Amino acid sequence: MLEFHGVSKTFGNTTVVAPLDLTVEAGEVVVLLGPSGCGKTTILRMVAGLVKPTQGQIVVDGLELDERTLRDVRRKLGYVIQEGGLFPHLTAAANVMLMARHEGWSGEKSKQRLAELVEMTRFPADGLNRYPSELSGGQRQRLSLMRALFLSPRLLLLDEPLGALDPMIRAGLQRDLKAVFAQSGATVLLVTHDLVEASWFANRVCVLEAGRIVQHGSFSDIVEQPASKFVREFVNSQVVTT
Amino acid sequence: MKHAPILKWGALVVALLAVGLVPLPRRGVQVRIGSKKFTESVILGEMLRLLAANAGLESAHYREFGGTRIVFDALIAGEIDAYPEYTGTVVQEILAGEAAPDEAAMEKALAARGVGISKSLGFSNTYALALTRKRAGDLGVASISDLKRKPELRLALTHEFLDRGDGWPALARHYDLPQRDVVGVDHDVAYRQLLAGEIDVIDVYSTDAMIYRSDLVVLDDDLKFFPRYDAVWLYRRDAAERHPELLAAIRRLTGSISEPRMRELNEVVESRERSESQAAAELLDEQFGVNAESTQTSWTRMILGHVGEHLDLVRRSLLPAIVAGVALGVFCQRFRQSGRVVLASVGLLQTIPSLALLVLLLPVVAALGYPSIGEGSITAVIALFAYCLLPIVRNTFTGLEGIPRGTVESATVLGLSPASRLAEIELPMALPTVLAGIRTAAVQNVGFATLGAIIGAGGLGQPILRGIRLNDLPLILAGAIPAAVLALLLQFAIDGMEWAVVARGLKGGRPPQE
Repeated sequence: MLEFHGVSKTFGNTTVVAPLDLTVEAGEVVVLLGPSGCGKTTILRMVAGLVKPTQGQIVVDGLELDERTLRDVRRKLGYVIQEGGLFPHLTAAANVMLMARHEGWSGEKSKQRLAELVEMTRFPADGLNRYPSELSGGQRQRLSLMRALFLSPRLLLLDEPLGALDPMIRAGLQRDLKAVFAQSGATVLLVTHDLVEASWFANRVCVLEAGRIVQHGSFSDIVEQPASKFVREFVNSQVVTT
Repeated sequence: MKHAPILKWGALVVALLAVGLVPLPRRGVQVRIGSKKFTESVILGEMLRLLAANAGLESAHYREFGGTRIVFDALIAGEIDAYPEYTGTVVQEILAGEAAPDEAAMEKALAARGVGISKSLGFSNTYALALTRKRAGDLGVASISDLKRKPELRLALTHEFLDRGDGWPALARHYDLPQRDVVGVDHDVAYRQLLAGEIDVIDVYSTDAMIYRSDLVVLDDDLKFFPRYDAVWLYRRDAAERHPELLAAIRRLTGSISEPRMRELNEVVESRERSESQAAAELLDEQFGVNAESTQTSWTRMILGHVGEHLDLVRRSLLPAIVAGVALGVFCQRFRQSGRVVLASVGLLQTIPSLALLVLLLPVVAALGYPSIGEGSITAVIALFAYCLLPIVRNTFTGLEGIPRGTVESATVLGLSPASRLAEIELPMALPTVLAGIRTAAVQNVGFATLGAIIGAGGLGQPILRGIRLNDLPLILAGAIPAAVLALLLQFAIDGMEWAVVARGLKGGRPPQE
């Protein structure tokens, strides 16, 4: 579904992502885990076509990502970021249905899809006519998720989707999010620094240190058999606090 | 459907340009008469207009254009057909010493430029230096030579007199004058400063009504420096051929006004007993028995007329500037390197003094073959356009820059094309900032547009200029107050527009508690 072949990124003399080889199977939820600055967000942004790899190839659903295929690749993606990236001048409904007009969908079809997503993401129906600034943080992330899912993407990219939320709200959304992943059937690449999120979502976890995958496996592997001092310390630092 | 938002912006651009660029039809006029920025010139201009109108010519008078250079250039460019001038100015300033000061040589040099010159109107209005009677008595000066003994005297001279070939530098050399405290001021301001005792000596015209009203002493030109300044008409020879009635009217006016009579006419206008038009009509009546209808418009009509001209200046400069400014702002944000140059250039434009920009633009506009001066000229419009750009460009740039990166990238990854992203996400989000820039530009524009009057573009600056010339406070206010009101109304209109078009989501609501 998603393949990285020797993908690297350097800015000047700084290596942000060392050559990366990784394959994510269809329907899998893979979590990129690591502290800030480890390159996990850059990996996600390269898949979204926002950052061009210095070297290597990314293949999304059989399409090799380059200038020519960018449009088609993005057509397969859903993208959710920590701050939501919502359009503040559009109502919730307009945010979600923005692309429907560009895809030439009928009004009927759009409304139906919207109703499905409202139910799937448990977004309050009376919030659809509100503007993002009139919604709570949790509602905004549900909205961002609806927008990303609207055209039924094959691959969901999520960058710290719960990072900006209060713990209580976070717990609720975390639960709903997992249900949404299962229901939508999309392949998921999720970036986080949070061990609990990783344990909750991941089929597989990649721990990153300074642009390099230092451990790769199930969540329990990582906690029980840390591959290095860095992984052990990273795990312990959060086990203590959580 | 997919491109509807892009088309909407396109339609807005077309509408703004259509409303902004379409010129109003110019009045159908056969003969255009100009005058300089002082009472006598305006009275003379009005005289010829009335006489030509009486002879059946559709004629218009473009009052108080400015100094010699501007009015003469307008004559050469064909913006006006005739204006009153003085022989000394023709020799010293216009021909700048290239012709001997005899009539035949002057006529020949002017003819080479397509300009005809009439015989004297009957009076001479030479330059002179003047003091208050009391000050002259205290100092014991009666002639210009006497000034040599008083190096501490403060002089305030008109800018034109300070700079021209036959002006202050030559006078100081001719008489070997020692004064160093010489400042350039407006003629009308100089009088007031003189009477207030802030300065000692000013330059005057010998027919100035103020000399007699304020009891000034004119210093004797004992070393015969000043040339003769016989009042004459300069006219375009082609206009005279086309309209023999114009030439006939000019010829009728020659030899018809004595110096004391001219001084009287100046006096009744400056004391505000008569308008320029009434004073001119009176002379025509007594000299030729011509019963000319002097134009006396009511205050309301006068102000409304100027408001109309003013709005026209604003319309033709602001609307195109909105389109160009937003486009440049987008360009600056997209192309950082070239954008910096654009921003700097637009900023630089605003540092050019407005008056200088106007005068610098005159020959450029004329060379391009556009009307540079008078009603419908584009000089003032271009200058105003240039001044409007900075706030609009800068605010568009800032507004676009202020959009969070995540929002722009989300739009990109969703699959919006760059054009759709601009039309549907970025411009709507930057709109409050862009509108704030437009509001600043509009308010500035209304203020700057008063300067248009200097080059005859009309507007509310005209009553202000006339008010300053005639020391007429109500007249100044008749220009200044409507201009201020206009600026306020425009500001309210843009505020209203902002309220109507900016999405509620951008106005800052309060998120609910979960």
